Amino acid sequence: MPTTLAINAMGTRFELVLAGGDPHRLRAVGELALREITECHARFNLFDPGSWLNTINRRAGEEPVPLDDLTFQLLKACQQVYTDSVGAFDITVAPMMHAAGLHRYDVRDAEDEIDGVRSRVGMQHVQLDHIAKTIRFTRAGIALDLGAVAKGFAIDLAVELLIEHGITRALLHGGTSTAAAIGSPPGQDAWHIKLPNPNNSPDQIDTTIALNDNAMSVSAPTGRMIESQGQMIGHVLDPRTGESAMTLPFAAAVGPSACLADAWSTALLVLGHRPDAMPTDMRAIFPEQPDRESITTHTFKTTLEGASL
Amino acid sequence: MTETDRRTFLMQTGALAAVAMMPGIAFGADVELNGEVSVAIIGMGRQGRAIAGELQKIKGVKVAAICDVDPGRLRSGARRVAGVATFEAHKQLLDTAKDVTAVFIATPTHTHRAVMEDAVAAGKHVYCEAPLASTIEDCQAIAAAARGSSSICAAGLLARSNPIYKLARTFFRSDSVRDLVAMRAQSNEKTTWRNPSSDPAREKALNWRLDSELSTGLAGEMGTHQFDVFHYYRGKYPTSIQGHGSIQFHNDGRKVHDTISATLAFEDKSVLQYAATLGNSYEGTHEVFYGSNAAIRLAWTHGWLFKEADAPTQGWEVYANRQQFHNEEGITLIADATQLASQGKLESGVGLPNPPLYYGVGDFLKSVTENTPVVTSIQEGARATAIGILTHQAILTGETITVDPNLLGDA
Repeated sequence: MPTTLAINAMGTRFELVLAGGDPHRLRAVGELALREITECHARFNLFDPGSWLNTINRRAGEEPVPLDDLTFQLLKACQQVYTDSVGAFDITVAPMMHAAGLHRYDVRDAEDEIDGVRSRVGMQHVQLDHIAKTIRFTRAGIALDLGAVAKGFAIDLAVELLIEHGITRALLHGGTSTAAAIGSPPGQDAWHIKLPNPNNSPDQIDTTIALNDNAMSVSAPTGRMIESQGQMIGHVLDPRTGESAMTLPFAAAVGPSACLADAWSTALLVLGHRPDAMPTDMRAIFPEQPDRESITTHTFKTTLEGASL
Repeated sequence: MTETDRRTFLMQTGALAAVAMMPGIAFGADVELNGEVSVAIIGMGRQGRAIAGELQKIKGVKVAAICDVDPGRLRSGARRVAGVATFEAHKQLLDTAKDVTAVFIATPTHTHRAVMEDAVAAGKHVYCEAPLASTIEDCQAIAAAARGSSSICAAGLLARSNPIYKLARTFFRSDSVRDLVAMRAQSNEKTTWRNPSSDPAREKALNWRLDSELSTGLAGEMGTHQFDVFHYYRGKYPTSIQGHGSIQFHNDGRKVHDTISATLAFEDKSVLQYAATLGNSYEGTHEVFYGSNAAIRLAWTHGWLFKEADAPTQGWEVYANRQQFHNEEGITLIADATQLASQGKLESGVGLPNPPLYYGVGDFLKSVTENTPVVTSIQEGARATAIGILTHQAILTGETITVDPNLLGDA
């Protein structure tokens, strides 16, 4: 029997399945791994005024803020994806998300319109000093929003801890949209993740992704939608224009890191294609037959329940 | 008086009443230090990392050194603190890190005494996590070490620094609660309390909380923090303790109870009912004071007042935020409610802006940088710890333990 643990964090549910070994030890290791996620939640939660992220957001406009290795590593990765995706992924998108009414816990400021905040969005206004390991904003009003990457980063830290503690078979997912696998279930070659076709149509084929010592993430406009000016818009914005990314029903990324998969799935949804600079060890997945007229809710399902562990 | 006039009147008088009840409390404001301070953290387990996370947010604090005997924890801690020196032995840290003014002790409970005595001897100011010790003897030794030095020493009990607890205490001490009829507290968390290690040889040392020779059980590890809430509010300590414990869920060979209950009786016949479990998380950790006018429920980041129907209405209640709990309506205990309401921010401001630990370590560092008395003394920490240890003993023996008041006085 597999050992299963779950927690609520980052506005979603994380589930961890561990197989092989003493179940008491597996549970203890699993708890430790999930603690990495709750710690990330506390540190990087934009909606918690006391989070480390908000401390950075408050101070980095005034002076360089020293960063610990983990935060620096995360922001450096974000900067790289921003560059490689030509700005399609941008963690300075917070003012735009706020203006669009996409921050679910925030009170929208009536005078904040997308056009008005565009000047406050752009990773070029963020200086990461690679020697001093500090961050500084070069323009007033910049605010980091790690909503499109923190889940993956937390999963990476948890996976790292699981491996350090000798775990050889595990699957961890956050909200069924970002997942990482260690090894495979007993008797199987991989953890098989099913992405149902966008319209749940019997004529279309579900996409199945095999995970074994790697990670994946999927982004979709329907992950969360709101009504804006009489139209339903998805929760992923193109940071370059402020427009909601609605062209594709979903985009997914598979690679060695859940953090990068998380960031790249957002970038791919915005771009609609694989950019040249996307790392070669990252795979881009798009729906084979996107029906652009009728986007319906679909979910990223794992086959955990069906797996014979 | 029109409705508008009445509301304005109540708003103004309510604001005045609130101000009068909380002199000097800037609710949940950022900690501001008078100058810079270089500190070290000894013990980089869960609590040490949490302390590091809160210190990182306070301007003027430099975490210069960290220490842990476990290489994995030390490595993990170093990744979370900018530019920090690492040590595997606390004496080495105390001898080497001369620029460190204050140390935070977050090692296993039974090792606090040795680290505390060495830190004080090295001339460092000390924040010692609670429970302070696993034996009464060590508790007294720690209190003696603090008394006999010129170092500023604080206990890691967080109620006295918590803005919500400070605010609620003003209500408790006013007519809002009236006659105290009962007290209750619980600590529920579904967790194993087991610490795995990548090195099997280290597992025994890391699992000191499950070692019946070393552990003070749930009563000591969790109860100590909550017992101090009742000491803080009432200025009274229990006089006798009864308890019961069992293993209800974690049948993994452990001997330390995963579920306990205890009754702590006071001289005035009032009683605190305490319960804790590692098998269920429902309603988490909280304390409740039941009075003839209202009950106060405190849950560390939130607090509520539940009024009796016949309790008098107070002006500030008009603008208070309320939360529904089944058939009960709780008035959220938060300062500056009228100001938050006028800004449309009451909903988002109903909880503590930072974790309670932030205010605890902040208060200690303010004492260090301003050379002022600490908010939570080692002596008060020793009293709460002693009650935690005695409760654990009552649970283990099944006997009623009479608390010797001299024991607490000497602590």
